[in-house]
Amino acid sequence: MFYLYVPFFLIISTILSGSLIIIINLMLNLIWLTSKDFNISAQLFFNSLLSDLSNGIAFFIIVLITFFIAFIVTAIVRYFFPIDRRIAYSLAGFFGIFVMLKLTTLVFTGAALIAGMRSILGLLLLSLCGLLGGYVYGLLLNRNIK
Amino acid sequence: MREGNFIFKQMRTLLISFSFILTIFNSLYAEDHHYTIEKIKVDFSNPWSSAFLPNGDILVNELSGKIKLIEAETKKITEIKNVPKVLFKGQGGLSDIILHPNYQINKRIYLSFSYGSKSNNTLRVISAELKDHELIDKKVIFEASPYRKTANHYGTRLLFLEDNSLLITSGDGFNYRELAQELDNHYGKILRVKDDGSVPSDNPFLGVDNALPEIWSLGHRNQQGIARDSKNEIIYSHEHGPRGGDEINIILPGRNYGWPAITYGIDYNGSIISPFTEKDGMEQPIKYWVPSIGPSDMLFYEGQSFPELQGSLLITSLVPGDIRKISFNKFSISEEIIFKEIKGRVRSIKASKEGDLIVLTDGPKGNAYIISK
Repeated sequence: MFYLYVPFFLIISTILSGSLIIIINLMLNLIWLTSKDFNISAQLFFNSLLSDLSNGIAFFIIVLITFFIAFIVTAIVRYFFPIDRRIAYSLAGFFGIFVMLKLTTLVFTGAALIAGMRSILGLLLLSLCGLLGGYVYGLLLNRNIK
Repeated sequence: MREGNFIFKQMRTLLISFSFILTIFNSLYAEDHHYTIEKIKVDFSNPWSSAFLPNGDILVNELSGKIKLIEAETKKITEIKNVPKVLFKGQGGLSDIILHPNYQINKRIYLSFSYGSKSNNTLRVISAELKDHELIDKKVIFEASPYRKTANHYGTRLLFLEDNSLLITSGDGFNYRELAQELDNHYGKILRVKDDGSVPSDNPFLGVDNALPEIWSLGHRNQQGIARDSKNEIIYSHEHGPRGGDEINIILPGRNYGWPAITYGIDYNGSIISPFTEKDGMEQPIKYWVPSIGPSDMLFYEGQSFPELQGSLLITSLVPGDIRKISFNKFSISEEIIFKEIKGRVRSIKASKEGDLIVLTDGPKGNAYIISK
C-alpha cells in the first residue's frame, strides 16, 4: 500500500521544486526590469506568475523525469549506504536539478534555456529548489515508512 | 473476351483524358507563374548566404567554412581557396558574404563568421580580395566585444550603405540578452563601420561615455536579415524572437529596439521574459509574428526581372519554411507566401543586379535554387 504513495510523493516534490524554480526565474527577470525603470505592480507579478506556471507544463515534466532518475539512483545508493533519507534525497534533488540545467547548456551549445541559471548565484538558487524538493520527498518517505 | 477488350478501351480512354487534363492544367499553372526555378544539382553543407558576382557567377557560403562558386553558364562548382578558419559550432560558422560596392574595381568581398573556440568566441568580419578563385589580402575589419561562451545568436548579416559604410548585425549571444540594453558591448546591436573597419565620424554614440563607437542601434536579439530600400533610404532589419515575437523593424541610428525589456515573445521554457510590449524611448516593430516564423534572411527587391515584387521585402523563413513577400500599402502591410515550389527550411535569398534570385535551403544537404524569368 505504501508503494502506491511513492509516485504521489514524487509529484509533490516535483510541483514544489518546479514552482519555486519558476518563481525565482520570474523574479530575476522582474528585478532586472525594475532596474530599467519598469513599474512592476503586485497584480502584474501575479499575472506573470500565473502565466509562467500555466506555460510550464513541459518544464514540470522535465523536473519530474530528473527527480525520477535522481531518486532511483539514491534508493540504490541507500541500499549500500543507508544514510538518512532527508539528507540523501536532498542531495539527490540538488544535484539532479544542477545536472539537468547544465545538460541543457551542453545540448544547446552553451545556451541557458532557464534564464535564471546564467549566473552562479542563479544556478545555486535553482539547485537549492531541487534540494528542497528532495528534502520533502525524503521527509514524506520517512513519515510513511514504519 | 469482348468484355475484357471493352474494359481495356475504357481504361485507355480514361487515361488519355486524364493526361490531357493534366497537360492543360500544367501549362496553365506554368503560364500563371512566368518564371523558372533551376535547382543546382549539387548539395551544399549548411549553405548560409550567397552573393552574385557582376558576371553572373554566384558565391555560396557554407556554414562549415567553405565558399563555393557556381559558374553562371555551366553551373560548375569551384571551391574558393584560402578561406579564413571559422568556428563551426551551434549556430556559428561562415555566415554572410557581400561584395564591396566598388567590387568591379577593387574585387573585395566581405565575410562574417564566428571565430575562436566553443567556449570563447566572437563575431568577426573580414574583407579580402577575390583573385583566381582564391582569397588574398585578408584584413580583419571588425571583431565583436566581448567574447562569448555560447555558440548562438551571432546575427552576422552585412549591408553596405550609400556612403560605403558597412552595417553589421550582432546578436545577443543568447545568454547575454540584458547586455543588448547596454552600450558598453556589441551584444544585440547593429553596428556601423567604414569599409576599412574604422568608425564613421557621424555614428550616433560616438563620444558618449562608456559607449562603443561602432554602435548604430541597440536592443536587438538575433538579426538575420537586413535590407535597404535605396530609393527612399530606409533600412529594414528582422530578428528572431524567442517563442513568438519575430520582428521587422525600420532601423534608425541611435534608436533602441527594446529587446529584452519589451517583446511579443516568451522564453523557450514558457516563462515570461518581459510582461511589457512597449515603452517610451523604445521602438515598435512594423510587423511581428506570433508564433515565430524563424526569419532567416531578407532583401528589398529593386530588380527588373520580377516587376510584381518591386518595392517589397522578400523574407525567408525557417519555420515552417517558405519565402514571404511583405508589401507596403499606405495604411497596412500585407504578407504573401511566394515561390511555393521551394520546400523546407529556407535559409537565404539574394538578388542579382538584374533581379534574378538565388534561394538557399538549410541543412547538411542544403540546396540552391536560381529563380529567373
